[in-house]
Amino acid sequence: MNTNEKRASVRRLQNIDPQKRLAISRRMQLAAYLDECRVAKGWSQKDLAEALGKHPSEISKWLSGTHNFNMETLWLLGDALGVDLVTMSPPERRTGKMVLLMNKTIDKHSEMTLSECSISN
Amino acid sequence: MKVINSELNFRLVELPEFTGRGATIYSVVLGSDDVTLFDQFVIDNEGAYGEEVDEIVGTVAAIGQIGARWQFFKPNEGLPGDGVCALYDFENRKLRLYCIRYSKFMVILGSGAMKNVRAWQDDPNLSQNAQIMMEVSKQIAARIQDRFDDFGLSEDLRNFTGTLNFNNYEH
Repeated sequence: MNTNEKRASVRRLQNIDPQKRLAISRRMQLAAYLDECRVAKGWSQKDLAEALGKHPSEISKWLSGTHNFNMETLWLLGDALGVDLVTMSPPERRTGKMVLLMNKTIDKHSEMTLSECSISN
Repeated sequence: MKVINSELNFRLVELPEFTGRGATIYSVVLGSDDVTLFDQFVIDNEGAYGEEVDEIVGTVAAIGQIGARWQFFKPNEGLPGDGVCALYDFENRKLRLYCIRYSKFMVILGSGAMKNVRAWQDDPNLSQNAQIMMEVSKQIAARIQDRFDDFGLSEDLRNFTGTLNFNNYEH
């Protein structure tokens, strides 16, 4: 067995597009943040599902880190959890783009930057 | 020497490229193999399911940074209380990677396969992969209980301590 086969996972990791790695990380950080908001509110997943009129299995999917949220779902979740998940920052600061705000309870050190996603050999 | 458990010989190895400030990532090497189960999972599936494999590999790397939060795993894939669970790729897709989650800070990666059946018991390949992790969990639990070769968890719950070689023989 050659070295390349031994460390196939590392080879694969090194070849993932850094933007894709960042997207995976951000998706999982958002899911973690949503769950911390749920816990802070004292809600079970079932409580959150009932508040949103959703099936609990759908909430599990949303919190799994694999879900690609659309904006309307984020607004819905933000309203239910009492947090501002999506906001408009002033044009002079962020060129008017919508930005996700999830910096209150998630450990800032867990934020993976684009440069961290581009690992070297 | 005497056989103390099943015939599954293995050793645990840390994957430093995936371990981060959030969690320590281990995998399993069976018998005299020199490839971890996680690397074998990549080798076995990257040809047919490259995009899905990348998603799981990227997810493992993110877990190393963010932590092995319960919500990222599909629970209860093994026996009650054994910690065997699964990572999956995209929502509603079917590639499974079996794992043992010990805490938010530590996870052991096994192997897996595409799940095209309702339960892993219905697929020989999935069944084998899940049962290997169930056996690994069982042997680890036995060693922790017995403090065999000083095996245990570090105080910060981020690492195993003692020998990581499970050769089924009591010295």
